[in-house]
Amino acid sequence: MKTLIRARFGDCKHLATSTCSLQSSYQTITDPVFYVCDADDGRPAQIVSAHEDHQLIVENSNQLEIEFIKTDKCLFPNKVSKCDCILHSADKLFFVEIKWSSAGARNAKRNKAVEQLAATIEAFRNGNIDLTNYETKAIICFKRQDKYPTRASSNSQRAIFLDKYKVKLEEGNTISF
Amino acid sequence: MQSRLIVKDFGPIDFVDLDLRNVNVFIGPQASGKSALAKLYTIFKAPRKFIKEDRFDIVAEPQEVNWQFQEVLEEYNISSFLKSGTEIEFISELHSISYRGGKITYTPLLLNRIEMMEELKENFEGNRAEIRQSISDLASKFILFDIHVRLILKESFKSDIFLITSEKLAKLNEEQFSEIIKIIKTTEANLSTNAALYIPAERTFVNIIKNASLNLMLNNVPIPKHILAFGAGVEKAFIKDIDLSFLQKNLTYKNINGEDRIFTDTEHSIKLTEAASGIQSVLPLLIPILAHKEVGGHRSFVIEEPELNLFPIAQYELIKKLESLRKEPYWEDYGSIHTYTTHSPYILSALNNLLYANKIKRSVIPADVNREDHIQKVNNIVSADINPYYFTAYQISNGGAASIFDRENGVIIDNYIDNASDKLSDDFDALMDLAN
Repeated sequence: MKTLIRARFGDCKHLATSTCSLQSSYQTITDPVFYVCDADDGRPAQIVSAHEDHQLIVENSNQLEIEFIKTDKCLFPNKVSKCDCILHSADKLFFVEIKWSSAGARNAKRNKAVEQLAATIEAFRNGNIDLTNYETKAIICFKRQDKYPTRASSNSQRAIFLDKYKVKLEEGNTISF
Repeated sequence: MQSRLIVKDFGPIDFVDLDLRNVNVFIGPQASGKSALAKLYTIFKAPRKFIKEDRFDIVAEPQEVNWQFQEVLEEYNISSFLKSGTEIEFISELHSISYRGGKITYTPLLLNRIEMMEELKENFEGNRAEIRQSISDLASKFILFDIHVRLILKESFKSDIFLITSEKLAKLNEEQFSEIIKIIKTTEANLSTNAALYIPAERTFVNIIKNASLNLMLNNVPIPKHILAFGAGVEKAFIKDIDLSFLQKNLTYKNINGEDRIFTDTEHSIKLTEAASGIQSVLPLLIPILAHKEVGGHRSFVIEEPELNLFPIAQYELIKKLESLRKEPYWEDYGSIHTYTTHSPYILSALNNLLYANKIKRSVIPADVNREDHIQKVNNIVSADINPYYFTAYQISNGGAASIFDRENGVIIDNYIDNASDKLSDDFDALMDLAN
């Protein structure tokens, strides 16, 4: 999958100005647990240590090779609206959009997140990247998860997303490989 | 079944134009006018129930009716909503009725058609083709009429239910046609006086006053007439036994010698008035709906806040129960219409689950050999469903109405109730930021 993505979309579009030590959109991790943060400061999403501020926890108990791909503000140029990152193993793939919810307007942020996830999946489709062999999910990640009370429209949004992209849309802070 | 309600300048409503179908939902903040709209729908759907017959002659032409509209609105506690600029219009298969400039104009559309049929009868042989067409048209909309016509024509019921065979209609004689006209006239009169039952939020009150109604009347206790009418409707329904296990295991209602009792198991029972508030608000809602299921025909129910006094899961179970009891009114004289007003995210999500269940059921084509199995799997998850085609949902606020239903995808979309959930989460997040 990594090779295919690289062939379609290349690598970081900001190497000239980037201060990032990795100098790449791709990073392979085998840690049993790792943490992802989108600092909302113009930099792309990144792997951080447990004690640092983070929004997403990735559980990888079998210590598989997980490919972490920074998409927004990295693999894709700044002006193109895409989700923040993609994480995949040999059989699972997650599109992840991280939203800071502290400033309120959770619903507007959720709708924006759905747009960004959809745009990334569409870019994959247009690039003929076949996802059928992967268990694929689109994750909206708020800093704090709150499932209740129930929201009819969020359920509808998930149904429409599944219908259109054949990808399950979820809200959550943890993904497991 | 489809109707349209347009309201301008009435209480908190500035302007709304509502397409109403078989399951309608109104949400909105307090005092937004959603109950007022549900009440107007109740009144305008069967205007002849409210117009005293001696005040006008029922004729097919549009006519100004001397209807004491103010009095009718008083029955529903909404008379003060009437303004000098109020305009209301309601259009259904049966009639159109409008209130404008303080005057009511009533046009019985079905009666117009019947009158045209009477005219066709004057030259029966010459008008055979048109007569045949008019009967077929009506039979496609009124199933009970269709059955009557078949009986008159001695037509077998084995053929496709939607079509009376032209062969039989070709042999129609004048006498049979007169009989058919009589049938549709009766249907028209019944439906035009078949008012929706308004099930008010105050429904628990009905249980309490049941045995004190004469005393209340004697002492002129001012109880709104629509609540009394509802109470009378509940009392009239001969339902003696209701399974309430969807609320609590083994729970049943029995009417024993006129007394309402709630059984917690086969032996132990308590008076209904001593039962939990949830049971007290569910029973007066279920009784008329179950009674209608037994008698058949068409009935419309306006259900104010079905969630009252109920735990979230019980709200979900109640919606499943109500919708599984409902027969889809594919025809104008059959089945039931449910119009809900609600503030509950659980009711809204419950309805959305039922809509989605229908969509999932329909995702397998009729020819598929696994279809029955697939439908059973859906039923095992959600025991009822709602066809999105017959569903509408509106958010009433700031004097207007906005649809919260995505007709293309058949599900409920962004709305005020869901925004409330977000507001709670946003505030919690803000507090957590301060804690940091």
